[in-house]
Amino acid sequence: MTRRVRWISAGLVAVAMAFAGCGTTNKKAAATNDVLRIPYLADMSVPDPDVFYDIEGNSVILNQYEGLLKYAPDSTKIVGSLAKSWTISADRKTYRFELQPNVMFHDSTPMTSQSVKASFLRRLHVNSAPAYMLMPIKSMSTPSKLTFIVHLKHPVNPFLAYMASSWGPKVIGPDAIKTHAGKDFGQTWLHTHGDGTGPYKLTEFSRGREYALTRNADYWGTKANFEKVLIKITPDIGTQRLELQNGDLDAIMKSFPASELASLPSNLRVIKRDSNLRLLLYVNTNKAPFNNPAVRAGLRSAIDTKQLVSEAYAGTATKSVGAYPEAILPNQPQLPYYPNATRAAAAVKKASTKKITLAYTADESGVQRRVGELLQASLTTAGFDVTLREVQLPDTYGYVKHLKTAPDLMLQTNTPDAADPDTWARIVFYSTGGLNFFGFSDKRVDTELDKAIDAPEAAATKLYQQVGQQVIDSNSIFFLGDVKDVFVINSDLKGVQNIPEYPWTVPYAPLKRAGT
Amino acid sequence: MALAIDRATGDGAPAAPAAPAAPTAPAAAATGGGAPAGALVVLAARLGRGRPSRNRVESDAGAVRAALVPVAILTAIAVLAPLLAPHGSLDVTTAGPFAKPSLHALLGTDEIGRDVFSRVLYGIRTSWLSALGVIALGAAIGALVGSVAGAAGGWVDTVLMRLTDLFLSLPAPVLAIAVVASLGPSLMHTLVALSIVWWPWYARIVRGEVRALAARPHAEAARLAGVSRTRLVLRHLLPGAVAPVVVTMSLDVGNLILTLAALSFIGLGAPAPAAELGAMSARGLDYLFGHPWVPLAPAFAVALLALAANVTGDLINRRIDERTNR
Amino acid sequence: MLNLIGKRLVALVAVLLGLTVIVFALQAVIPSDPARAMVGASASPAAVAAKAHELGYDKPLPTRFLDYLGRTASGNLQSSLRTRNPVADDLRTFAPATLELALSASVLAGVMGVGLALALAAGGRLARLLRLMLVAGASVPGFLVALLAILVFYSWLHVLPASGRVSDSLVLPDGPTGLLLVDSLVAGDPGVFGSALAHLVLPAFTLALVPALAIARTLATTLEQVMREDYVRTARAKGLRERVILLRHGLRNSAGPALTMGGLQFGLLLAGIVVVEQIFSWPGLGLYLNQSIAFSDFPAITGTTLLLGTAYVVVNFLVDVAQALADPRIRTV
Repeated sequence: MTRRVRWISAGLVAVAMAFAGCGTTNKKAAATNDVLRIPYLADMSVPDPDVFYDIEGNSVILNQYEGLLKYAPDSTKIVGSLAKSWTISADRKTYRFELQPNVMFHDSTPMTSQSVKASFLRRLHVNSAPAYMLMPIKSMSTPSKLTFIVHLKHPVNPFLAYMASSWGPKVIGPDAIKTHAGKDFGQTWLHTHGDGTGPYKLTEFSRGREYALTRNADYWGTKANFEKVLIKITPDIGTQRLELQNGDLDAIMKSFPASELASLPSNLRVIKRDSNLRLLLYVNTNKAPFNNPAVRAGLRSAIDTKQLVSEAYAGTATKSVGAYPEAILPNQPQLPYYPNATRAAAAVKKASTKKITLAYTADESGVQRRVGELLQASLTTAGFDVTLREVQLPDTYGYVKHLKTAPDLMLQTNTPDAADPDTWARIVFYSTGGLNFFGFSDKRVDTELDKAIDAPEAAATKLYQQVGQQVIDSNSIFFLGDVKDVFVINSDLKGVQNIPEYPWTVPYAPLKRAGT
Repeated sequence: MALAIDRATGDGAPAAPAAPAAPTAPAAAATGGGAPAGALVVLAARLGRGRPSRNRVESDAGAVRAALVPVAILTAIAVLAPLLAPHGSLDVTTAGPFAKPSLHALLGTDEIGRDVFSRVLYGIRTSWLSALGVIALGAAIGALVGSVAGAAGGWVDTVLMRLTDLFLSLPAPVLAIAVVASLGPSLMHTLVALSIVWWPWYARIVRGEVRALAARPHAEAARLAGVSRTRLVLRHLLPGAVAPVVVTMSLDVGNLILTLAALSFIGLGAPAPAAELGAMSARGLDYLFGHPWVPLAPAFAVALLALAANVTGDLINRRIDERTNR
Repeated sequence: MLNLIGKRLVALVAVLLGLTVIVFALQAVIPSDPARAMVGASASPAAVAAKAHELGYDKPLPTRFLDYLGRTASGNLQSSLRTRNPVADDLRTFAPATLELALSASVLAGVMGVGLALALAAGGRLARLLRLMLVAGASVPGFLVALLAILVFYSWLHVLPASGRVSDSLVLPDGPTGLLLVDSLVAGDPGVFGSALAHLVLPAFTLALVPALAIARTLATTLEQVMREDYVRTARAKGLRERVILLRHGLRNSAGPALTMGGLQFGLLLAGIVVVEQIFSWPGLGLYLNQSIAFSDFPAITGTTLLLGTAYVVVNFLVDVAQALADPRIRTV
């Protein structure tokens, strides 16, 4: 009996292995230079540029769609994309864009100024989170096929930055939208399809499995090298790593555990570049003990940002120097964060309660948990009784409605929408800002930001610096670290361009394998 | 796999309970899951038909004692962890993060520089006590429901047992995930959620024993002697249910520890920085290749606990068999 | 007989109703604000109130429960906050992968369980060693078993793939079932069949490990008992070989409890998919549930729970009825 069982199982294993063999052959045959394989840790929300407002999924949008402008690699310089050139009127209310000629959508219809206008209108109609960038528009006109003019209600300093933002308006084929309009401006159709002008077209969107981007043979610019890009949903970083080592994946663009970078085999290369992602510590100033400024000052003395960042990020982040990402505002006021145990302990004694809750948002790399644990240790030393709590990002948006029951401290990693000080200050510092989780509110800050948005450049810069100083002095948000983009790639992959403003993503078109 | 509510099921599963009629199937109980009650009764009855061979029973008596040794050691470690551990469970040592195992730090240090050996000791304490807590709570609820149903009989029995069957028929592990996901991760939520899905088995076991014992002559005699119903249950009936409940409990410990580990893996277990073995192993998984001691040390501790619990449960089970069969 | 099935059917409906109550209760206690989540963080209080009214969140609980019951019965499980699709559509997308994995794992668990039980029944040192290995394997956290399996069979031996359902270079048949093994056979595509089978091996094995052990132990115990029965003695006396007896009489007469254990194990298998699908990148309900948990996507979480729960209840109902049909002794229970 037992022998028979053994025979049967041996047979089964043999069959499985034989099939595995042929499966592997198939894969290796295809893993030529034609297909680039990139993992995602989770599904993106939706590949609709007018709804999408997350980070994971950026590469699907940005390689498929183009806006009027974009950022140049490794800089915050705005360059033309679908707009060849642009002029701004003296009153800074009229923007005139001259468009690239001979641009086709993926459905082979031509891109004109009418398409741009239709796309802007769609974004306003859909009226999801990223629509705010177009709210200041008074009217749009299209004097010729390749000229697009925007009239603003009032000057908006970051308007060009909006156009270049990764969440900025993208031009979507108006015919496709009209055909599939439904009752929601084509939103349902765009859940699984796309029609942009970019170097790749979306040819498959299998949720939970993979998204396929196929080279756009009619692309107006430099055509992509890889015939196909497969974005594979691979939710476990350990599995991702083993597949990368085996050559079944080409690059890991996010969440690679920093401490493991040193133990990589030689066929992999690590690329670390600046991004505008920042690690922040939000302080709930609406309840004890941190409603007391003296206790907040003590908190500042209790944190050794330099040590915290270097231990938690193992060289993949640096200590922050200002309230804004360094690249987006010159001559920022410096952060006066000097650890001082005596001062910290003295201030903590004044706290009406020592029991505090420190929340961190769950992320796949576990880095925020690590920061949280380290921070907990140093705050405990200072005299606090710290409870650590992991929270999911969507839950944190509700805190502002329940400030008394919200955590006392919260760690988050955020990035400005564009490389402009206003896109950072307005969401994080403004009293009603979308990322102002604990409702920090300073009337002066609000007024100055409202003044800055249409002030002349030099005056605006000064206002942003001033706001930065006020926020720093309030000790209600601590700027801990500037996080780098870490790409782990196959050594033979060339042409990696990093754009600090577009985290976790690279343009796929210039990528190629060495020797091709 | 690892929603391992049942990992150990395997182990405890088929050990044959003695009394053929009573649905005391610790066998099936170890699943921690639910089942259509009717089928289970049959399962229990059929499993109960056998008799362990005499030789086996005698060698097992010694084996039980042998198997209790690791359990005793583990319990001692759990209780004495604060004395045994060279560092506190949350202390960041001077060795820095990811120090290799050495004489200085026996199992190295973890990602923020805490001593892994100390954390494993504390982890044994947390995991062991958490598991015992859930089981104790589950058993307490179960004993209450079961003894009330068994002693009262009639419509009370029917209502309570139908309710128990309902809970038994639901996929407990899936519900536990949903409950914790809804309430948010915290050790307390996790333990409460698990207790909620863990009690029905105990209710069934206790009720079966109570019914069976109530029919015995000594219970009859007590009743005739005018002993009150409450007293009858507490003094004469409930003690008889202790043995099968203990067997089930011992088989459940391993399951629970693995379940906590699985919940941690999907982010629903004991929150950081708690030294809970499953959570430590799940969170250390990122460092498996570069610093394998971080996830593997707690994983081995989990395996050790589960193994000790399973083997002991299995042997106690046989021992009780032997006693009832004699 | 019909009477029995009728009774079990009533119980089935009661259990499903109970499941719905629990899932609804979960939705009711969730501390978040689904109306706000749907209209977005920056929406005005009026917009939130309008949405809450539209969704019926302003009605009293019993009314809401009846609404919920009606909606659920008609297949409307609200929309996912993350994918923005109706949850029912998402479940339809993800269910086939899980069905294929769960079925394969169940078959594998059965085969492994029976094989091991027979080995145990036959005795011998090898059987004991095997059992010890399985017990040890089942005592290690599942996620570690899965990752180590990938390390060995994918990274070192290069014999099995680590992730997904099928090689991404293949064109999949647009089959009737969504089960790749079946669809590829229907379409006559051995490439897809082989690839799908190879991809199934590791996740199915990881899932099957624990149930196999449970089935084996149940079966081994029953076998031991059956082999002491009179008719087995008679068969022995007739001079039949032990192996034949074991197969012909032993296995057939001890299948019942093992089958019940298999049904029970199905629930654990369903919970196990959450971990297994995560590590093996298996695009099924477990992955969907896990992603939804990370997004606090409660419509999706509760919808998935309802579907998995129903699957479990129905499977056990079928096991129950099958048992009753096969074994006349049960009908009296």
